[in-house]
Amino acid sequence: MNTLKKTALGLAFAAALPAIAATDGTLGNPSTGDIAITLTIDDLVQISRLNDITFGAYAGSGNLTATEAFCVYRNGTGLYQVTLTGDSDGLGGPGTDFFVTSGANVLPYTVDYDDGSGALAVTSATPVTTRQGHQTLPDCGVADNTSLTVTLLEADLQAAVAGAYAGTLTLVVAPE
Amino acid sequence: MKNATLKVAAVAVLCASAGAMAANNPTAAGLNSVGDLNISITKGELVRVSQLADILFPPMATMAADTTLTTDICVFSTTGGYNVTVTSPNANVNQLRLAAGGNFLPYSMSLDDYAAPQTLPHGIQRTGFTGADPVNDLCSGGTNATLSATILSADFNAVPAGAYADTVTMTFNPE
Repeated sequence: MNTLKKTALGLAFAAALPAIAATDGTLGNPSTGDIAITLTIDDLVQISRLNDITFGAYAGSGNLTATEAFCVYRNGTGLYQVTLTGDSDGLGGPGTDFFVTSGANVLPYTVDYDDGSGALAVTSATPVTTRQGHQTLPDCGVADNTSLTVTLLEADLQAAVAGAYAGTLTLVVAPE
Repeated sequence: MKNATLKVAAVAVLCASAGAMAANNPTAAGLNSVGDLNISITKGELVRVSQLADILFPPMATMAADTTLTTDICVFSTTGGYNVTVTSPNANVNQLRLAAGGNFLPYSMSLDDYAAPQTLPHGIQRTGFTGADPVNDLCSGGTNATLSATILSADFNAVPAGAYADTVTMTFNPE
């Protein structure tokens, strides 16, 4: 069994407001006073409805591909960037961290990310920028708006040592 | 023996005079000398708004439902009635707006005099408010009207993150 687990993180920040004080009117005709009305809207993102990908037993031929649909919410403009990282094989540098492992044995996989505008191939630890999330509903309402596709190639699968492989794919979403 | 009678009083005049009048002085000396003077006072129509407080919405990322915050105020009017005009530098035509740089978040205001609440669009005088304190210009420490600010959740959720603010000037006139 090959199992891929996903974790997700979101980031938020807010700006400070200047100090303002209400001013009462004086006795007269007319009387004029001022009040300030203030509000801070925080930047927020949220990933939801992620599920593990379980490929099950490899039949011996062909690629293995699975697509996981989920929700990404981003208030305001809806624009965000996402960075995906997986388990490392311990050998390479940045961009070589999409592996499932079984002890010391590793199996590489690829990830494509689709916010609804088309699938993009993802490089590990490299942000995928200017993605569009749901702008008003943190749970995207009824339907998911994003998907990722994980693929293990036949050549890698056939060459791999038998065993139960597993890994964690982490998604970090940040507002743009 | 000579007797003289003079009536005198000291009074503060608040506003414009009530018309031309003159004291009368006797034209000649006599056993009694009597003059008279008029005492006049004009109470002008005056108004005062006090106990104003800023309306501070708590920071939030999403707004699940339309949100209204209120603040109680004191309105003094010698007539008991008044009108109100609200103005803001960020308004668009009659629509009040909070601003964060080049981004704007619409909102609305209303005033409840506990008789007939009215909305307060930018630049439009709302008349017919009643219930002002006609005696004490600070309402003896109490309040007699409620000011409200409302943001619709649809408007809130559609604008970018940021620190939004507006300064509203409220002008009260007695009626």
